[in-house]
Amino acid sequence: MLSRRNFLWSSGASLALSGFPVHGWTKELPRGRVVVIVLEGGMDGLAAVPPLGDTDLHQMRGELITSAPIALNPFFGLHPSLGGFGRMLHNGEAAIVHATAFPYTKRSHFEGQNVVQSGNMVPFASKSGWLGRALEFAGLPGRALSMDMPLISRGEADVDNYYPASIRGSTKPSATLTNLLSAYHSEQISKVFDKIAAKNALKEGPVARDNVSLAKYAGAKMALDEGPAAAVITLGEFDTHADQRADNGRHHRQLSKVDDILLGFKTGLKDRWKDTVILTLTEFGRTVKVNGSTGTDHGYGSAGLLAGGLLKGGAVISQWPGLRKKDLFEERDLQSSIDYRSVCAACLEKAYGLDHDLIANNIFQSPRLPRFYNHLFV
Amino acid sequence: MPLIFLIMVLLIVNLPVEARDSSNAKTETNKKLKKSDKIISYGVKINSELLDSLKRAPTFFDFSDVEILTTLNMKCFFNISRQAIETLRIEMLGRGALQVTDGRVNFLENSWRTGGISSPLFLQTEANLVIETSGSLVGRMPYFHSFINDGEVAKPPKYVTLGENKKKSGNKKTAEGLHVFFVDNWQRGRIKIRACKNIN
Amino acid sequence: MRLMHRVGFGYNPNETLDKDEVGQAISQLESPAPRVGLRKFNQMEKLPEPWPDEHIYDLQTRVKFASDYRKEKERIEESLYLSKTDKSKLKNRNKRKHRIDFYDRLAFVHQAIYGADPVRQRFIHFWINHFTIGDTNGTRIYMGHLYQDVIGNGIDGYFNDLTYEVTRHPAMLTYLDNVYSVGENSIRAKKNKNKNKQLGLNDNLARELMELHTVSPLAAYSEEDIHNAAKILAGWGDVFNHKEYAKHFREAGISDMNDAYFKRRAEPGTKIVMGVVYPSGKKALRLFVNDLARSKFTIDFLSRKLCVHFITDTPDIEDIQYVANSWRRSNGFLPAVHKAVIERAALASSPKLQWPLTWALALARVSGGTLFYGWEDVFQGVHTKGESKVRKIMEELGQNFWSRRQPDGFSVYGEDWISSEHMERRILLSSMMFKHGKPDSNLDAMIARAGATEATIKLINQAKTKEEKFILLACSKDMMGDV
Repeated sequence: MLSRRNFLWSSGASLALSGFPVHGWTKELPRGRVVVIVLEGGMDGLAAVPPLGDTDLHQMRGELITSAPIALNPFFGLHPSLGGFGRMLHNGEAAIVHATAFPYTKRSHFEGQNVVQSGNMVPFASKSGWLGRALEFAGLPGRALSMDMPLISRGEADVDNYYPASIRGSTKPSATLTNLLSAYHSEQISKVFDKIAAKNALKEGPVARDNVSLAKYAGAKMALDEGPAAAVITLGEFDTHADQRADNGRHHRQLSKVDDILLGFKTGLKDRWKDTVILTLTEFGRTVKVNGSTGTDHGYGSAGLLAGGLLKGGAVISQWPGLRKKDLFEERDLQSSIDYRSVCAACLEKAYGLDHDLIANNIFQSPRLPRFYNHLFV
Repeated sequence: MPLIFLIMVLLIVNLPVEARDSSNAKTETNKKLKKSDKIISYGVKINSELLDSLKRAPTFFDFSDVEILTTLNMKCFFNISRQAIETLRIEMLGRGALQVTDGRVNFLENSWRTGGISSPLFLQTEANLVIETSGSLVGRMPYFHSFINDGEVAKPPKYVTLGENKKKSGNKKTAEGLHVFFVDNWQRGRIKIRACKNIN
Repeated sequence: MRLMHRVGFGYNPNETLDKDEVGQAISQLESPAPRVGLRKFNQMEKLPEPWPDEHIYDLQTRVKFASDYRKEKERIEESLYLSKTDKSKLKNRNKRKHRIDFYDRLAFVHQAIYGADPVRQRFIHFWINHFTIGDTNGTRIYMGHLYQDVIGNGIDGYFNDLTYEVTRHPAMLTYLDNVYSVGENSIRAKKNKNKNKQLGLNDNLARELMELHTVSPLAAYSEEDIHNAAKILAGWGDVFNHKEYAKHFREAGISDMNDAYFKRRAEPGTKIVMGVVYPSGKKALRLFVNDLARSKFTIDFLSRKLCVHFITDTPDIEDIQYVANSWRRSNGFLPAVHKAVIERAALASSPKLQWPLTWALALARVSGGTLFYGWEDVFQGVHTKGESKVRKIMEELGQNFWSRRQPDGFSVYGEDWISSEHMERRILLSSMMFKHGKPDSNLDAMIARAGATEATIKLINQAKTKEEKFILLACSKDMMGDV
């Protein structure tokens, strides 16, 4: 049976904000802020964070390693398109987890994205996402701002949306008009017209919709006590089956956008940066070796990029599995030696004060999920 | 003799490309990333020279190769327009006043006609421009390249680089003149500086 | 909601309302009308004209254009001698020459608004969504062929034929990565074993063919079934639009892009999927698709989906069975199946919220206003006071059929389109249409054409200005639908 599925906002990045407190009630709510940057298509951890200290690297995928990596230490480098992130790493406000993934190995985008967003290892078994569920446990259900609510933000409860329209030559409806429509239509649609009226009454200034503007806007909203506790930005086009290149390919342009988004959030959040943790989320990494079309195929282990003032930061954390053929997953992909769900769980624990066991049992349905907290946070 | 030369060239060309080893101390150059059975935290420290070159504000510009006209002090008016590459049609985007102090440009009161989120603050706080000895404007600045109509969502400014071409008109020892810069496939940007008065 | 809105795009100001709406709908389904469109946005008479031949492109040309576009783009970007401005000019020229998807999008919307076969177009839209193609790796230049030619004509035939043609079309093979799939024991894979390159099977198309296009997960196939299906599919297609690969096609003697089977890439041997043995070689795909198409799971799944899309979110079992029976009796002859859908839709009184794009096209058709620009406006930088670019409008509505999206396509459930964002955009689009699209000024006639109920007329009368009345009609249950 086909379950409700969201569809993608096709251009650029898309933003969803959720976890607004009930109006006026900000006491006893968690101060933490979580941002998830969903990278669709399978982000290549080895391209973003090349393990320069591994002697097998050049032999296994030399042609895809950047010619000018930023050396983080003798062991790992960073792709130059992530310059802003590099500076954050140096300043102890970012971290990298390498050779990590959700334990999903079937390499399907469609299922993979569903799994990493729902937090349920069985694809399409869950109608809600791990972030949405976490917000409910933290006492912050519902209300979200986005054109289409991405799965990760959906809780069990109903949510509503907000996202600026761009139709040249149109005029915003008057309150009278929306009221007439609300009175005329059936309940579900009627409620929606009421929300439109309420939103128009707020009179917000113009907002732009590109990556950086969205990130700044989201950051500024999250900086408020009554603002959203969670943001999800979705960025696609990481699926570089062909022509990936070592520098200046599509993969790296997208990484550059990730960098812009991180900087945008920092700018928008200002002081609230210290209460924030940002993490990337992708369905899988990519094959170690180049394929026949000078690209890479779907893989397994990848890297997670984290940023924000909540982190201990300043390190690449890994249980390095090695790049020899026998060390690879199915002799083709970087192995995953850290369950990325543990990384997500640690972020939820720190930002929202939720208990690890609660997160493991109720959010990830995985009672024995290892606790990764101490590697990332004090 | 040529053979030896050829061999030397081949040897040089075939030297392995190494990652820039800009890490902490020379003692660590022997460290290799080995397969591990426990989680290790590999601390990050980027060498300061490299750190300086990492991404910064969108209007960051390296002026080290630019000969700034440091004797220039004047106050001028300016207007910014765009020219469509295909039709050559010119449209005014913004105007205002600026001051040049020891060759560095600061924008004063200004306004944009483009709507959306454009405001005087962008040029005042983000622009990073100088006048070089040829009289050209060099550096980077925010540039609102399109008009936002009713009902449309706002767009952020583009960040453009000036100085890739010499200025189109006007003398060398002044900021006055027409400065043209690349924007995108559709338009060229133009900033015309005029009515400059020297100040001391 | 009147039948012509449930299964068509409503009546335009020149059409006569027929007492036999069912008969009218069925005749619009069965006879393809001439392809028409609008020449320019700013023309005196808003009469549709025949779609120009020079903007009808066959598959071969499209694939070549996609390849040339890419090659030229790279040449321009990598050139060391061209100034930035020259590069811009050349890029624009490249775009004008090769990006025929601009015309495809126009043809798609114009036929719905101005054509004489709106009901037929509705079913074409349904199948285009069912066999979703996303814009990846240049498919946008040739996906229009799948939409207009393969599906546009395929709805006159059998479902298994349609599925076969769609599955082996370059757009589908590219979108779901089959062009990278190579049998592990194929000649190609064996040749590359020493070269450190990654070659192997890609499951994507096999998975979606079974999961989304035919039997659905209800058929309880296993991962191994999917993997074996991928083995059947391997060999179909190679990278279509990259100069480096053109020689593969030449060497394999392939000139018909619809039939691009590479023996060297195929997995040898027989394959077993869901208990059935398929022979080695090219014919296996045909046989496999036939079996998938006639499966009871496919019939139930698709009958249900058709009822959900055209009748209501929670269709009655009688509706689904009626459609499924006609499917079985006719062996999947789509005209018979679609006729059954129309017959059930005619009896329905349950609410159905229309797709945003369907609604917008119906609004344009019923109001006689102009929403999109014409084929002579493409690449001309025509500035209209309202938005008139197809891609932008489709994106705002959340239904860009040329976008980069998931293979499950746009939801057929009306419920999934209820959000303040979607509803607000309908109001905004209606306002834009009124102000800048010059709709027919006779509002009463439009009200009658839309089949407005008493309640709707009462609603409209409460508005003061003409613009508000127009918006209320546009957003009424009769035009928009309901849940």
